[in-house]
Amino acid sequence: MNNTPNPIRILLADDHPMLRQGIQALAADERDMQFVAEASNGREAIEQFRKHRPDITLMDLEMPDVNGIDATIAIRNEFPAARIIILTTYAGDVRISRALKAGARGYLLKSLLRKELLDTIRAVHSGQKRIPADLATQVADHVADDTLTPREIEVLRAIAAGNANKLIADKLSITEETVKGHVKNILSKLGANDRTHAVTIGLKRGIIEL
Amino acid sequence: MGLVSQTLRTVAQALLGLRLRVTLSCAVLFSLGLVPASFALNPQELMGQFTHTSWTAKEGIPGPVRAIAQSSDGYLWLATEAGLYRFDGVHFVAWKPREGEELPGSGVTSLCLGHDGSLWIGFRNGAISRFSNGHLHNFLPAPGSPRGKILSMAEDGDGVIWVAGQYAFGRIENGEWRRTGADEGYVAPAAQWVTVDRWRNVWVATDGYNFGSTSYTLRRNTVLVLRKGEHRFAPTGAAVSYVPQIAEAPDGSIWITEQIEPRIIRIAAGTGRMDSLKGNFIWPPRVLFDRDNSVWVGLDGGGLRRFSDFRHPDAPMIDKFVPGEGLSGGVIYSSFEDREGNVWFGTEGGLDRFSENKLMLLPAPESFHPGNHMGLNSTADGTLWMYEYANAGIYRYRAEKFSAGKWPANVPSGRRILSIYAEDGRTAWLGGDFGLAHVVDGKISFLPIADNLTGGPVEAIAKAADGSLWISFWAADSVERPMRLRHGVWTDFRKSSALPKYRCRVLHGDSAGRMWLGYEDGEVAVYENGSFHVYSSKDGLTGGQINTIYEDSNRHTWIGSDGGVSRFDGGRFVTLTAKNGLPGRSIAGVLEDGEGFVWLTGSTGILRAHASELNKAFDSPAYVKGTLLDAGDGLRAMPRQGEPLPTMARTPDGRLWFSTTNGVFMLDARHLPQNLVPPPVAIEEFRVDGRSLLETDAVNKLLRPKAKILRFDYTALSLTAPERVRFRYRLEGFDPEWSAPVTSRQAMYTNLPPRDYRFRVIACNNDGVWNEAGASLKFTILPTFYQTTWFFLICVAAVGCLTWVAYRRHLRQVSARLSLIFKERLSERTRIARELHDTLLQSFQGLILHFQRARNLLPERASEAIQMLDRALDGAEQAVVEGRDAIHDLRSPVPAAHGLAEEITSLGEELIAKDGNKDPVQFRVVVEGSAQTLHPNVHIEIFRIAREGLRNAFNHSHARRIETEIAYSNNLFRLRIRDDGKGIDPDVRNRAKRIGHWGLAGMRERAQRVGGELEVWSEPGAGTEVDLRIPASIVYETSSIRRNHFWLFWKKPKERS
Repeated sequence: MNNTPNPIRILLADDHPMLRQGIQALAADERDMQFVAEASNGREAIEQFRKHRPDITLMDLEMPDVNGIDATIAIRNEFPAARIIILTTYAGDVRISRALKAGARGYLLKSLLRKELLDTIRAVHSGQKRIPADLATQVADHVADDTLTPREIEVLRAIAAGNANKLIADKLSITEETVKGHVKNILSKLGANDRTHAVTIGLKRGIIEL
Repeated sequence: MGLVSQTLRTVAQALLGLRLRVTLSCAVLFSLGLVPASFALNPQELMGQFTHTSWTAKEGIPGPVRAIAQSSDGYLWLATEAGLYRFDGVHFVAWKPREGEELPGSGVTSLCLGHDGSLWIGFRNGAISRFSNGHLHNFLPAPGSPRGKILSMAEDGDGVIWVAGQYAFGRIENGEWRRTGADEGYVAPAAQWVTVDRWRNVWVATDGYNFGSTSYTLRRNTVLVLRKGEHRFAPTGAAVSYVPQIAEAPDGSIWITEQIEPRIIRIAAGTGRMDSLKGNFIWPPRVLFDRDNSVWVGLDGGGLRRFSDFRHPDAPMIDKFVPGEGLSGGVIYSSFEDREGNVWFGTEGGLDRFSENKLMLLPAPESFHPGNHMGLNSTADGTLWMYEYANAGIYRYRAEKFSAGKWPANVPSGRRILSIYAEDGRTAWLGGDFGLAHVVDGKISFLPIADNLTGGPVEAIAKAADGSLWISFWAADSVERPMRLRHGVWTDFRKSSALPKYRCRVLHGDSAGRMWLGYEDGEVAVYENGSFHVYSSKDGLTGGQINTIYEDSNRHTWIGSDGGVSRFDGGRFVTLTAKNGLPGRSIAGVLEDGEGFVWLTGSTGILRAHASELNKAFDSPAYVKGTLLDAGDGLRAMPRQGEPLPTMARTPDGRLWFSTTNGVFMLDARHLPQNLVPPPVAIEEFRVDGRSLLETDAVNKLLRPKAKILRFDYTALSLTAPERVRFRYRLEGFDPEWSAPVTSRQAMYTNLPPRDYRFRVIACNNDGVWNEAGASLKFTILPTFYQTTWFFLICVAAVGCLTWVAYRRHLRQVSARLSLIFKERLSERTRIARELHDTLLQSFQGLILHFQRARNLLPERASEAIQMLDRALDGAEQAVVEGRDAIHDLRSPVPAAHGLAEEITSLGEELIAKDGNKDPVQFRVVVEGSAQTLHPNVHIEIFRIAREGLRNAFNHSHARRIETEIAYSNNLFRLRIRDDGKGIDPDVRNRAKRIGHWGLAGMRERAQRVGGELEVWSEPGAGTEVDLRIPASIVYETSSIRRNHFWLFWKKPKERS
């Protein structure tokens, strides 16, 4: 069905079958692209990568078991040359930065799939890094910001799960006072008005996931 | 004469140092006729001016009483051989110093009160003590330098105490004893008596040396004087023997009493002229000048004599008191006049007091029988007419003399006088069983009564203002006839008027020309302008026998009757009775004294009340405040009652005369002796549960908690008539007001609450003069620990803390609820977001791509496009199902009493329908107990747990039967979901828990959140049971615990679901 001698071999990892079908349908007529494997979670994605060594991996961020970032890191550790494009529903500078740090070469919002997917695949395959302009701007906006420490991110995540300070302290084995200090820092670093606002910002910027 | 020589021998012995008091000599010299005849007793001069009281060892004071002093706090101090006694007028106390201090001897021989209030005490053993500010300081004689018995002490005003001792003369100056010797002009080895006069000259009678004043062997001693400002004693020239006393008279002269050859040497003030009163006195060891200038002489045996004026020692003696007549002893050792004017004497047997009486008995002639009923009548010339009711005797008394003897001789004895109307000192009308008589200068003439009425007595006589004579005549026909004699014409009013048919014993003609008739049935008739008006009890009279009718200076008419006193106001009578403070039920006499007071005689005494007091009482019935005279004032009898005779009279000299059951008493209304000294008040003892606390030095007496019985002993130092002293006391902090006046000298309180107190007591003397300051004692009853303020504060703090803790707890609960809600909302949002992301969003994105593909295929490859669109539609349908499920999760049930079972039933039906299985699951809901309304929040959670459980059962268990059991019991709500399916794989359970997916873990979490617990029992192949239990107190909306306690106190958080 594909007569191009060297089509771009693609691994598609997404937990949602409808989306997987849609993407495949979208690229069905592209002769230079060939879907060699599918995965519905990160673990499968790593296995399929080892098996097929695709040119391009389309990796959904939010997947059960092993998420996209972790899978990307794992693959890149094993295959440093792997070209991985992150697919996600959400923007968010931290999330993007994290993805780029993990070694992703492209970052694509699902809302932009219809227009940008094919170009992005080709661009990344040709060796470019491809990030939509407005996302790149977002990242740039926050470059100078204080980044949350891992402990602060943990605290923020706990806040997002609806825990009170005391419970957070218990969970993280620190004192409530320390938790309060972290919360204060989080609010300050994120420019949040309160805890809920901090969670909202955290989600928006991809510091934490749902 | 042998007796005389014996006396001389005795004196010689005395001079040798054996100072024996020779009582025998007194009688000897008395018998020698040294007493002049003018000193013979004249009984008519004895007026009973004093009330004499005596105390002996039986009453608590052992004699002899060698010295008497009164301290500034009012106590009387008595020096006796048995020690020092203190007397408050009622009790003798053998005085002791406070703990740790001791009296230096037992026999006390002299006392002296210093100007600074300290009491100096001289002892038989030569010791001297000073008692000052509650402490005793002793001055003991130095070894080898005996002072002997301390005979006399005197203060010279500079704080120097001169001491006359048996073996020494000296002084205590600046706290040091110093013997006075030859360098100061005093060569005698000892002294007998020392005194300091008002100019601070020191007079001393030497002992043992006469300084060459005389060669007379008996008089070996002399009197020296240290004049103020000089440094040496100077001789007075008096040669004396034994000197029992040197006294200063009110005029400043010095009186030296001398024994052995009895006389009094007087040294005039200023001139220093010396004379001797000799022969007028018998053996006078002791003299006392009282405030009335009379001089009391105390004898060495034989008692007391009183002379009216010290300036006229030759004037007749007016009183004599001898041991047989109630004096405690015959030897007068000491004398003293207290602040209230009472005169005290110490004798070998005890103590005697003489206090002046207000009332004095009129000494009557022999024939004057004191037991007889005596009528009194006075005239303007100062004559007092007295007539004996039973004995038919008439006496006239004028200018302190009875002028006539008995009833004129030409009237047979045995006749009775019933009434008298005296015109002046010479003329009177008499009425009696003899009819009517007229007396002029002792000559009597009998008068015939109109129509020669005879056979009955004339019972009352009075003259009207027009000079007509009225009599009340009880005729032989037993009809009382008021008769009038005017211009020689008799008028019988019985014939013309309707008068009471009783005896009329009282007639009174007033200044307005009216004639008042008083009847024994209590009626009063008034004759005015030719006619009578009769008043009875209907007009305000008492209804008792009329005793007296009196017109006062304001022309008010008073009626004294058996029942009270009534005053005529022009139309009616206003009556006062014993209830208003009158002296008894029956009032026999009413009289004004011209000094503003009204005197009423009654059956219990004589009342003296100010006219304004009585006016007040007549205006509106009140208690009449006045002075009641009785035995304490010298009235040794009660006013006469019974016969309506005039029992009270006033002579123009201001004296009032009272007829009593024991003679006629007199008082001088113009010079009524009054005790104006407010009595000092002292709290003598303060006992708490039997323990004395008065002597403790603490300023504030702190009493242990729960002190039960508090006793206060107090006294007032009014020595005139202590039995008439009244007290009022009050415990500030407990009593709202003062007690009523009481005679008791003790107050008790029990079970007082802890607090600060002040006990106050005030007193009045015998004449009602109050010491309003009184005495007071502050003390505090300490609280037990549970009565203290700090305990109360701790309680308050504890309650505060508990409230705070409760509040905090409540706050925590509220914030926990809020955080629960917050958490729930956050999780809810998270869940919705995830559901949207995981289902709808992904599906839509997938669909978009499908549509894009279809778009790309059209129009060339339409059939492929159609396939693509079909797939997309399938996907869209699937998305709708997913969305519906998501929405379902968010839907909230409506709480209602029976709602839960219905909701679960319909949920089950829905799930059965959705299952679409050919072989439908059997589903049923069982309710145990009566359904109750659940708390809305809890209701929702229960429903969600049930839904999750049922979904699990329907979707995963492959059960054939699913059952939900809802049990409402009193203390527990229980929901159980059972199925007979394949059971849950333990791995699934663990995994579900780990990924935090809604499932068993979620159900358990929800259960815990509402305070319940959830257990899941499951065995592979044997089905599953989910068991939810929630305590009633949480779950039921109508739970009594919540309603009664929590909900009142804790605000119900707002519903958020």
